[in-house]
Amino acid sequence: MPGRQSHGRPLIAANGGANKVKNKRSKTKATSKAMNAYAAAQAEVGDQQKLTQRYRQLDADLNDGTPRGKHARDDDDDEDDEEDDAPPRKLRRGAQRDGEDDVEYGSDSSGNSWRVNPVNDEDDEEIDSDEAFGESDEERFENFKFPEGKKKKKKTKKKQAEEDDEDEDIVDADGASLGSDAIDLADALDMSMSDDDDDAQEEDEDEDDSDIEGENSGDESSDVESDDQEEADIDAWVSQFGGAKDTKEDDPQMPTSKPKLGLKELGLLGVKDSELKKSLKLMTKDERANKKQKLEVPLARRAQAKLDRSVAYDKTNETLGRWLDTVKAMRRTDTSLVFPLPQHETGLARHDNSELAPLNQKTAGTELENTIMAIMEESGLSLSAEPKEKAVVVDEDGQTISRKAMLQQKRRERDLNSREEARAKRIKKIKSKAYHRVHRRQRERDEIKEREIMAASGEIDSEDERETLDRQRATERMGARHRESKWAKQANKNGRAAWDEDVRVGVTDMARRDEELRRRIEGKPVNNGSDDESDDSDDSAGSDVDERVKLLHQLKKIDAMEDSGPKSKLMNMDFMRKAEARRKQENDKLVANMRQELASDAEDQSESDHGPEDIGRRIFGQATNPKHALQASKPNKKAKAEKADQVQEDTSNIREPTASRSKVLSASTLQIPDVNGTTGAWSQPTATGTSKKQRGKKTWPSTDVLDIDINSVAVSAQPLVPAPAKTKTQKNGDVMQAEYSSDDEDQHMPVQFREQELIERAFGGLDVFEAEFQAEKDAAIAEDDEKIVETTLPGWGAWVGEGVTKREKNHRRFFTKQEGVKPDSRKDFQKDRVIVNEKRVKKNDKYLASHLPHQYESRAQYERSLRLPIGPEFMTKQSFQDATKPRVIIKQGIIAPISKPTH
Amino acid sequence: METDNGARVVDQARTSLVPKHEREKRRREKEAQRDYGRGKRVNTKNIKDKKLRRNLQALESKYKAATLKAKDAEILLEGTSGYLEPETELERTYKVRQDEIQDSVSIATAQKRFDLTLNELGPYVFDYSRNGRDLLLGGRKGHIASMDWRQGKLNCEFQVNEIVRDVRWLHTNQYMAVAQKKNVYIYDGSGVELHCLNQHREVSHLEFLPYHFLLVTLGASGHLKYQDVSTGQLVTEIATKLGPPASLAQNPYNGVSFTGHNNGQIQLWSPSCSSSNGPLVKLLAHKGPVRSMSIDRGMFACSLINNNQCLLKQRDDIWYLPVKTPASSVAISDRGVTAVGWGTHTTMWQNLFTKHAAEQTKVQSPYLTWGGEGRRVERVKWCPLEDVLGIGHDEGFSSIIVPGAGEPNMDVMEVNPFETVKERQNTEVRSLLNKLQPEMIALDPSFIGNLDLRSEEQRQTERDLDAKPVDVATEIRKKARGKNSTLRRYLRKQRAKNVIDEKRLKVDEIWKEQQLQKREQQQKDKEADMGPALARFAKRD
Repeated sequence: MPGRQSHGRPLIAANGGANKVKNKRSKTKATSKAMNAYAAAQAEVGDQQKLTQRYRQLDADLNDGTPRGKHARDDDDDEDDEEDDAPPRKLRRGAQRDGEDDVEYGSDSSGNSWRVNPVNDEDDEEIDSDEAFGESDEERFENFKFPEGKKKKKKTKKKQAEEDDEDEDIVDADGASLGSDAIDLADALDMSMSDDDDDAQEEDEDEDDSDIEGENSGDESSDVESDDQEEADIDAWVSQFGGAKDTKEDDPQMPTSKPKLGLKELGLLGVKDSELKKSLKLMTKDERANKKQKLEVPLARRAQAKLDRSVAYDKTNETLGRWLDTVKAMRRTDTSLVFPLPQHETGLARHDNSELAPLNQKTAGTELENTIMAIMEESGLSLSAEPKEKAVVVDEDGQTISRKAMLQQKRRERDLNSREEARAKRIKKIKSKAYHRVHRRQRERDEIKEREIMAASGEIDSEDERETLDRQRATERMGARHRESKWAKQANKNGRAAWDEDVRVGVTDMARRDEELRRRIEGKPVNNGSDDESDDSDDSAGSDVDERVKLLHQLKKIDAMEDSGPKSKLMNMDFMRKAEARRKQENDKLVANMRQELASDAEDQSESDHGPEDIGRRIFGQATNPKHALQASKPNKKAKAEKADQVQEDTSNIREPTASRSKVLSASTLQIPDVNGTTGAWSQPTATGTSKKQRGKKTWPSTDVLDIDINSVAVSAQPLVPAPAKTKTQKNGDVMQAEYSSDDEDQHMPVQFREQELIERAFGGLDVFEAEFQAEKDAAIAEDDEKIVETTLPGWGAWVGEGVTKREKNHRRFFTKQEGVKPDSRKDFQKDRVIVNEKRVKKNDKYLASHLPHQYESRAQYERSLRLPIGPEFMTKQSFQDATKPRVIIKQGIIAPISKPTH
Repeated sequence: METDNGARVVDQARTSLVPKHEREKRRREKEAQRDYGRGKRVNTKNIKDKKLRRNLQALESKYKAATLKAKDAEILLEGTSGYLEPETELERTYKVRQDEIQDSVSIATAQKRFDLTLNELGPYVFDYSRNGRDLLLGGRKGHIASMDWRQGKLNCEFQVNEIVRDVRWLHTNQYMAVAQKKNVYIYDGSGVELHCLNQHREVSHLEFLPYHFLLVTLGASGHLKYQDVSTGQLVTEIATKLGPPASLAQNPYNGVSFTGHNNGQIQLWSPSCSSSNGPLVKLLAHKGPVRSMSIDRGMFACSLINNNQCLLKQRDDIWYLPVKTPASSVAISDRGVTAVGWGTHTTMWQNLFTKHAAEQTKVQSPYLTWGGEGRRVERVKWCPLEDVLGIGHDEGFSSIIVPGAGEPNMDVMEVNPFETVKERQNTEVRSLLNKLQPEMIALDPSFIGNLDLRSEEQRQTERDLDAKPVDVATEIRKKARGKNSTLRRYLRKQRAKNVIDEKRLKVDEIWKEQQLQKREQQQKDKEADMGPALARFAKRD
């Protein structure tokens, strides 16, 4: 037996012969030998147990009960001796590890171990090959040859060694004889067990549940390393030992655990025949070709570690990934997290017992559920709604028609349906035109008649009227003067009329007045009413006859508009036809009426055509026509006249946008009622026949009069104000009728109103405020508007002095555009009594956010998020508490970990 | 509306089939949104960013839940306000007299109707404290009195011996502001003079903004002044440039002050305005002076007085109430009852501002009337949280009962009419902590935190990059004399800190220079004392 050795090389040098060789067996040899030895020993000894450390311990345990005799102690001593033999390999290993860092050792869990030492390897081999053949061997292998290289030699030598060892193994079936690097089975098992423990611990860190991990460990490892066949093999092999593999051990290369036939099994070990040996040699050669001759050089530790890390990383990711849904769900919940979390008996968070979700195809998870679903499906009780069939539209011919076609058809039907209605509409429009036209004439006639009566009663003399007419003309001239004004020029130059409504209105107004004046001077009648019909633009300019003809023409057109198209189904139905017929009848009646009216109107006109309007200035004041009086007394017209009166009053109450006619004539027509006849210095002659009731209604007196005042004031006092202040359209500015002011209080009223009127007439200048306000507004608009500013520096970059032409002087001019608020984007646009300041309030700026905070995409989103009420004053207690609840609430108690996700 | 074939035309046809409970739910949501909603939803559908989308969706659901809960909480408002209702068509509520009402209500309520006959020092102006408990009376001829009017307990009464133009409670009943002949004075609850605001000259109108602690005064010169009563500083002073004002009011919704002028204009001001930039809004109300205004919670109503018409403005509708003499005062109650004082009469109108009606129906007759007994009305004002209208007239003060005028469901966290001293003190501290800054007043009070829409370019130009850095020397020499000269104050504060920077070095230099000068001056003086002959022996120190 070799002595204790701490180091390989000196011993090699010192010892020689077969002993040395034995000690210096390479690891591969040793392992194979060890294995073989073990197998052989098993074969030979059978069930006899090796007394390895473990077994010895077990023995000791067994013997614990019995007092140990001296013999036993001796035994122990013997064993100690034996153990003394065993340690050398361990010691040597440790020593070598300490001594030479470049020497690498490898071993696998099966107890195979090797040593990698590129420098010494050769040495080893050489020593092996040279010295393996000792003198005694030479005798044996006389006729043996090494036909091939070293390796061959080595192999044979190995075989030789095996053969040698056979005997020895039989002699000492002891762990000590297993070779320096071999591990006995018990040790291997121990190691693997401890490795397993380590492994389990590691995995405990990763995944909090060791049970399942333990169950799954095999699967998992195969999962992870499925791509790596070799490792899988190792695994499989390792699993034979009933434990998990040691991932930390560097054992990428493993001899395949393929069952093989050895010489031993064939019983050919003792063959001496050379022929047979040759063939055997061939066999072993084949085997060599099959399996790797030598374990591949394992990966560098670093590379291996890298691989390991990546695998470990993937694995960790996967295990952590299982928590993803849980974490997401918790993060997304609006409600806060309350610890301890609700734990369920099963410990599985996904089983929520609080509510049973309706079962359907998707949620059916368990087998039972699935079966029940299947049964229900079969029995036609399936819960899943079948996709709806698309409604197919089929036309009369039985063909399916497209959606578009269908729409078109429907539209056509609708058209047919409302044809008669459309006709009624058109008739109505024409009728209203005709009506207005007729009644306008009627009104004019009435006015003239009234004036006539007044003149007759001596209330107005021709002097008076002449004066008013003169005044009118004067104002018109004033208007004409405007044309030459600075304002008008400016408006023309800047093209302001294109966008500024006020200016445009002013310009057109001016043009119209101009035209009027010219006509008047020429002695032609002025078509005052043209403004009334501004809505229908097509015939506003035309004369009355034209208008009438046009209307008749239109009526004719409507008559022609009989339905000729195909009838829809609906229209063919009985009741629809009836309704249609009724409507048609009505329409026809209307048309007939209108015809009649127009015809009678034509008569009128033919009569009044010879009226005095056509004659020039001199005729003013004589506007009387006996026929008007006659006509007014006609019974059929009388009703209409009354109606017209009503309309007139209504309009004055509502203060319609004043027509030019009412402006001109209001002084004479619209008069302030005065029952008592006590008129002041500025009071107007009263109109007859205004009832008490009407007067009661009028709580905004003399509005029209005032409107004129505004205009005139605006025009005369402030020629720069472009348009006369627009008359206020206060449709809603209705006066509440004081119902309660019935009898006794009524008597106080007139005085009050009289005073008021007097004051208003006396201080008509109050309306200056309105004009001022308008001017102020215009100024504000102009100031805030976009401007073009000249930034030219005089003399900059230009020649000066004599001889510089004007063109050169003006050559370089610079303009910059100044941002502003356009008139039509102002907040007070078209609100004539309001000026909203468009200037920025600088002091408020410090409470504004300078830029959009992160996360928000638009201003609306950000500002919306600010408006959520927070304070307890603005919402209920519950919503307040919900809003201010902390995200995580920890209650007293044991906080168990969140149940592990199970998928 | 019907068609010829008898079918009825519906405005909004219900095209989809919706179950009843769903419709009910939608209606409820709609109402909640209308009453308690805070603006339009943002569209979350087309947001790309998942997280933002989820956040905003959560936000929207919070909004919705909050409004629904607020709507649901309405059932907790147990107080209902009842009105006088005519039983037949011929009955008129305005015919009902005060003694009839007084007879038919409970004793506690009946006691709220009373008259104070003070016919010597009138006409009287007055003010109720914010919780409606205290009444402050100011007679034109210098009589000031404050009282707990429900208990009839007089807190203080004194004579200032000069004209009193307006009186106003500040945030509690412990402070009152009185606009006297020349200055505005602040007295405490027991009538002790605390302050004389001599920067406010000849003030004719007072107004107090309780959340900003601002006293607003409007004087004969037409200057609008804001005084912070918590810090005592004059916040701003704005010239309205329209001469002596006619009225002053505040919008309780956003704290904007309304000034009414003699040319019929109303101007809206905030402390951030300046006289050069002009008011926030100018409004031409009518011809003639705007005698009085009242704004109802900023929702929509503003009432003005013309010579003979009281004009109500609601959104864009303008209505005219008939009055027969120029109205002197107008007030809108918690529940929208409008009182108009004109001549010796006061008329009260109901339902002028119906909140949610699509179309406002015209009110034909007033709700109640009072007066006509020769007492000229000076001011009308509603008592907060009560069905009581106070009327100050030239013969004293009258308190009348107007059923249904006050808010029956008060929020005692906001103003508590039954508060104890301790509660009052706590409320005062809390409201001081929650005080709003004067710059937060704007037409849209929710502008705070909104995005500044100016471009960076614009902001750059407005930032004055060429501004000269402040020169230390000139700054120091601005106030060079006295014990509290800038230099001394600076050194006093800086010496303790012991921070040496450029400014400090400069200051030290100036200091040394000044000391040297001083010494030389002293030397000269000494020499001058000794005379020309002995001057050479003067000791140099």
